[in-house]
Amino acid sequence: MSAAIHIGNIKKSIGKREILRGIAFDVYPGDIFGYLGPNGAGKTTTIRIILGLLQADSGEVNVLGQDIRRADTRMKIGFALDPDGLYNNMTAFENLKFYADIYNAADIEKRIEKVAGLVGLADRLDDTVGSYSKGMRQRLSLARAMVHDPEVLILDEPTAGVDPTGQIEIRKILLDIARVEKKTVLLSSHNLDEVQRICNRIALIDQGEIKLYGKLADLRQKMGKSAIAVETKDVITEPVLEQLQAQKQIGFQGVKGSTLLFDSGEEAAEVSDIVGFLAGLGVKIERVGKREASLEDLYANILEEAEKK
Amino acid sequence: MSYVSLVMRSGVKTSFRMRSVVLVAIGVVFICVVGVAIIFATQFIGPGMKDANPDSSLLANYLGLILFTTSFMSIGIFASVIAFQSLVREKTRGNIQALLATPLTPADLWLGKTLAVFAPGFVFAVIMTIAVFIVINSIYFIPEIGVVLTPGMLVSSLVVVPLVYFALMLLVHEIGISARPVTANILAQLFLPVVITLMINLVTRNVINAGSWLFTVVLLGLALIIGVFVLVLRSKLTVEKIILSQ
Repeated sequence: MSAAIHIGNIKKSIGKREILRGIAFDVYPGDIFGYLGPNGAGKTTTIRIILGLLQADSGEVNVLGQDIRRADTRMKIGFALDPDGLYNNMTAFENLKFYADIYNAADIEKRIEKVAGLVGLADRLDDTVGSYSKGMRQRLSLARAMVHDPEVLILDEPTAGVDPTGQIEIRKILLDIARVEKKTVLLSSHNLDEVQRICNRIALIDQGEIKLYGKLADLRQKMGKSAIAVETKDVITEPVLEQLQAQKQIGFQGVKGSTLLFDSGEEAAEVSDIVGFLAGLGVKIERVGKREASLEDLYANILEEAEKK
Repeated sequence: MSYVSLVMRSGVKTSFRMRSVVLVAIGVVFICVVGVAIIFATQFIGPGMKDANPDSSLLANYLGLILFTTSFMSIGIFASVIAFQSLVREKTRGNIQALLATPLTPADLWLGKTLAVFAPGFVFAVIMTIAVFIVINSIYFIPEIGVVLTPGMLVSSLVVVPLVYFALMLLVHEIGISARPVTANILAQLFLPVVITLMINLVTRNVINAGSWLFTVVLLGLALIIGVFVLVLRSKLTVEKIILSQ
């Protein structure tokens, strides 16, 4: 399958600062691709290069197999950037119509109604954007990205600065856009939880280098440790911890709050052995379950490895 | 061309929704124009009309100067205020970055934004200049010697002054979009008093007649000099330069 977005070994310096040091990844049609990284890692620079706003010093960038500098390629891309670039003293309808006119979209009024409905702003189209909350602006920004029915959506931190309820709404809209409208989505974020919830593939950038790239499920298997989590009723005491650390065969990983974590997998201890051992130590158990490796764990592993180097 | 017109129309629309800014600009222009017209008319035209045989060339000179300052101040103050507001606002809010991610080119954006500022200023300047022309002629000339009018004064105030300002607004937007709006604003703000003072001096010292074609040619030369700067700086107007200047 050919990539919808192809990034091949791009490098970019601004002034004397090396922002991107040869990054490469592909986004395939139908992906919701999470582009993760801490602030200042190079996410926005990458997005600007994909949108043709900055030019890579070297390397290859194409979208849908075409050079991004071509106007017909840009016609097939929708975007939401930060800052959003919406006109405060125009209404939401006027903002959407302005961009629909630029893209020469077909059947503009119907399309505006459709995308406004998709983002839940159909009844607020006549309000000036200056009166919108941050969450509403982000949703309008998504509607603007969709107004010309593009094949690819590029979204720079679409939930940044939005309250938790707004974030949930935006995540739901993004999933709808990908599934119902069948768009390829690349979204940048520094929110691990968000990416984990909606993306099927990710790339993690740190200090201008891709540290992790692939299907989220594969990456979890490859790098993250799943664990048996034992929630206890009481706070774990120091003597109990010492006993757990001394018993190597039980595979004690660590403690998070009142939850004890143990290795899982074929070579790990049986759950019944762990529970029996804890009961022997007088630990009162509330719940036992399996905890999947999260993106946060992967990220922590990577940072740990980087520190070791 | 359609992209330029789209950007221009949206620019005009957003500018005119900043009602307080537009009203202040119109108010300032109106006070300045009326003030200058009264001063010149009472200082130069009034005494000139008291002569037994009024010198029509001299009167045309003074009327030309009044029309020049009217047109220059109308378009200059109005365009500078609106340009600065729109450039600062659109840069900080990311409007320019968003537009450049569409099929629009930097040239479309530059011309569209310039026209959005220039067009209303031009219309305003034409209305003010014609109004001042009619008022001065009606009060001073028509009752005594008939209409005072030279083709040079009309071309200078209605065509060449707007041309000078169009060139200046191209330059201001070129700098404002690809570098810092504040630098562009300083240029726009300084240009008005410097050029007006220079031209008033040249005219009142009888170096040049404001009703003559020579005056028109001098203004055309000014437009050309600004045009050369616009062309030289044109290569700086790249997408990357614009984005990095935000």
